[in-house]
Amino acid sequence: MESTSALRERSLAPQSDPASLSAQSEAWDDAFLRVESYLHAHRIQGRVAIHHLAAALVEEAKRESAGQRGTPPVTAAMNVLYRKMAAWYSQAFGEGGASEDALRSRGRLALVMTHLEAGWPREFLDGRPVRPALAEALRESRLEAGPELRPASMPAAPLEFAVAPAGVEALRGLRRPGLIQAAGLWLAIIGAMGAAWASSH
Amino acid sequence: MKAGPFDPARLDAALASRRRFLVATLLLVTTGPAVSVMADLHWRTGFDLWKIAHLAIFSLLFLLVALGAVQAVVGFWIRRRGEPCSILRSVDFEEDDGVLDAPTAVVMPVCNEEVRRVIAGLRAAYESVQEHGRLSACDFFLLSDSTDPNRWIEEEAAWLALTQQLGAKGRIFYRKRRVGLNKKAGNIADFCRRWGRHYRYMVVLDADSILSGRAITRLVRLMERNRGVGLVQAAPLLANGETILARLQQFASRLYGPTAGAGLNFWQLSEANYWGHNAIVRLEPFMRHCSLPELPGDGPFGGRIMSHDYVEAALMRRAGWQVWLAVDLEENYEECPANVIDLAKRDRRWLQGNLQHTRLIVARGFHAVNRVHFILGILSYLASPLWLALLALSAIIAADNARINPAIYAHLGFARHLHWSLTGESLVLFFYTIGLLLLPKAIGLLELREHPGELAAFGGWAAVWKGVGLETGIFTLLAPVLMLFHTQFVVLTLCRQPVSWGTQRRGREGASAWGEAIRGHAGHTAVGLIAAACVWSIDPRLAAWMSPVLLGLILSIPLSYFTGSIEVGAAWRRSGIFLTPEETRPPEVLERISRCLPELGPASRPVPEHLTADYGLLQAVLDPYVNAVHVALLREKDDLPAASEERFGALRAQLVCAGPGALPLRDKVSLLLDPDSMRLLHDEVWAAPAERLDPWWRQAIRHYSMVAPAPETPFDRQVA
Repeated sequence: MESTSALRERSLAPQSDPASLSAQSEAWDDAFLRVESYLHAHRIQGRVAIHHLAAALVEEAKRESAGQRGTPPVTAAMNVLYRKMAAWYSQAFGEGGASEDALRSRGRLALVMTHLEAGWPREFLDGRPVRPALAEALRESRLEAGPELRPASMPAAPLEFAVAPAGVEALRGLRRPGLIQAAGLWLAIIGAMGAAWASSH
Repeated sequence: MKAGPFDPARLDAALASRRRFLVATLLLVTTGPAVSVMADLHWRTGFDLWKIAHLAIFSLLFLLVALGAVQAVVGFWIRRRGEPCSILRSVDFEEDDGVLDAPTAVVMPVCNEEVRRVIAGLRAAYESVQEHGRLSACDFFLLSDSTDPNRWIEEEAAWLALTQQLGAKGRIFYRKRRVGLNKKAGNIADFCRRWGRHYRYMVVLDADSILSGRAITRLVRLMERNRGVGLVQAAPLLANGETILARLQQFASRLYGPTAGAGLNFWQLSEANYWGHNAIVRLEPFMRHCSLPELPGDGPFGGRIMSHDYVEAALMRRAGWQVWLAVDLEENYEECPANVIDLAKRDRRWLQGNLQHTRLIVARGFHAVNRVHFILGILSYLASPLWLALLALSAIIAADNARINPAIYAHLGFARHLHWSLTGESLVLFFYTIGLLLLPKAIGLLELREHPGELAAFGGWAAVWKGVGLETGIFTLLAPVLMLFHTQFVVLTLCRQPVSWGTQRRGREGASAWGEAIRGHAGHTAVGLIAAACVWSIDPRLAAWMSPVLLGLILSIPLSYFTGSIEVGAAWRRSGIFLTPEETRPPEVLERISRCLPELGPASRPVPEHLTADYGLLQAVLDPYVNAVHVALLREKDDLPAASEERFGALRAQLVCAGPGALPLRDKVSLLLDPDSMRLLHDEVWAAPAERLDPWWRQAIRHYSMVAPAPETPFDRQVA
């Protein structure tokens, strides 16, 4: 596998070298594919829309990279995409201050909760302000994984163990008069069986 | 609220005692003669220590057989007469049909279950409650303890997709515990501690429970009517089986279950048991009195209580709240293991939990009936090693008799009056035992005779007789296999071997495989062959007596495969074997779950095989929406200490550069639990040049390329 530094060297080589030109072109093709895949992963409808969006983002990344050294094209292109997305979400939420990655994470959640991906390409990164209704829908989207917490304690029920349950303890809950009658009946049955045994053995 | 003819608060304690003593007396009357005859047989050939042990074990096992028969008899009798003490009679459901505003939580604790089935069950219950429209304040909770990242990530996305599809935001909730402390009991307790104070009642479902809105509403109505009742356990019927074993169990439960349930209710009354699901719990006393303590000591009988339900019922009763069994609550189902291996896995979990209850038999304050529940729960598994011991002792006694050829008192003992030969007396005992074993089946058939509509739904008499015959034959052959499994589990538990809480596979997932059947039953086959050779060498007649046991063991591999086959199960269903009314006239709630359960056909975008092992992690990192939902569900942490930051940084770098295969599960779960890491991983992997990524990630990113449809997540699935 080619090392990162070798790739970097190659990307910085004079543009007149046909081999390096081709390698650089390949690297930007990879960047285009990556951006396209990422947009596709957002379930954005319409290949043409994705294609145009990806092409524009890669062109912008190329322009930005022209004066910079060391950033691989894939990273440069994805960074542009991340930045654009963060700006769009920031505008939609009307909030600042949050870190870019947190903003994008919240934005993605808002998208999936409001099912906007189908209409998204026409609205996203088009340079126009986010429609108020759309912005409100995104702002209002909240994940409700549970109701408001109302903490309660559940102390463990105490258990006491006897070596063997005393008679009264073992028969807790049974009515004593009935138990005495039943015990009498059982003794009579056992006695009858014992008598049958004794008379025949 | 319109009251029914029965008021549990006025349950006559004398009646309850009379019923329990009647059952005990019937047990004594049924068991006594059998024990006497067995003692007489031993006496006639001369008592020794082997025979005393044999008689003791026989008595205990016979008592269990007799209990099943007695329960069926009293159940049949009380159903014909009309059970006056049924909790379902405490409310007139026809008259009392108003809307209830009692805040109720329907909770489904899950742990690594098949997500589509779980979601389908939750969806069916939610839709059914909405359609029934009599519960105005009912929330649903999916309480996850899943440790498998694939299941966990799918659960999260599937839950959100479900709430979106049903418009149930704020009505269906999801909670995943970071640490699955104390398993299912801990899962429920965690729910109670967080949200229990919001609700008056909690309806507990298992991952395979199916309860209609009408059934849930009826349970709430029962609790509203009976303020002294702390818990109502609904006796579920089995449904949705596809393999022979599953359909056989549901056929048996459908045919014999109602009388057995009525018999159980006859003596349990307000001291019924809790089975852990398909039940409604009054939350305030549950939270105050039923939090499980740890048992003193460790090992198989100490530590955290594993089988929580029996203990919670006993604690509830100890605190003065009634616990009832609702027999015949309609539209109340559960599923069952699909093959013998899964049945054994489930039993292993239950077995260790039940053995642990030994300590609780002598705990102070429990009702006598709850102690009986503990004892019966223990005996239900100890019966297997006892049966094995009985068989071994029978062989030893037969070998002794063959060796020393003892003098037989031909005309003494009971033979003095009854003119029995030794063989004749043995046959009487044998047929008496078989008779008692078959009695619940005969009673089930008698009960069916009185309900012609039900009979037609079973497919008519021919189908019923065929089903009963096959069910009896197959269970006879499977019984010794389960006996060996249970014996092995008891020994392992006593030797402090840990129990693995494997997830039960259900539906198509549970179909048999030859490899698994051979691995699972090779030992049983060997034991069967060796035992057959030994017994034959002692006495061929003894081998004939024991042939059902020996045959079951020798044929265990094909038997296990065959009874776990979905194809054969489907063919038998087409032939009308083991038909149940739920199959011939499926109720709405079962049809609903079939509609909700998408066919597990090929996905729109098949996942490459080498990605499947870590597909949950893949989606949590790469998929923009799954990642966002996952991060949103994690608890944001305060600033991490530098050492933790460093550790997470190293783990992320390793995951990106070396792929998920390089990390143990524990580290992958650590990353999945860290919101910052998950956000950073999403950004890093997507923005990294191919050279920096492990080939696994390159493949994973290709999975999202434009040339094919987007990979499938629960957000993309639509249900009819």
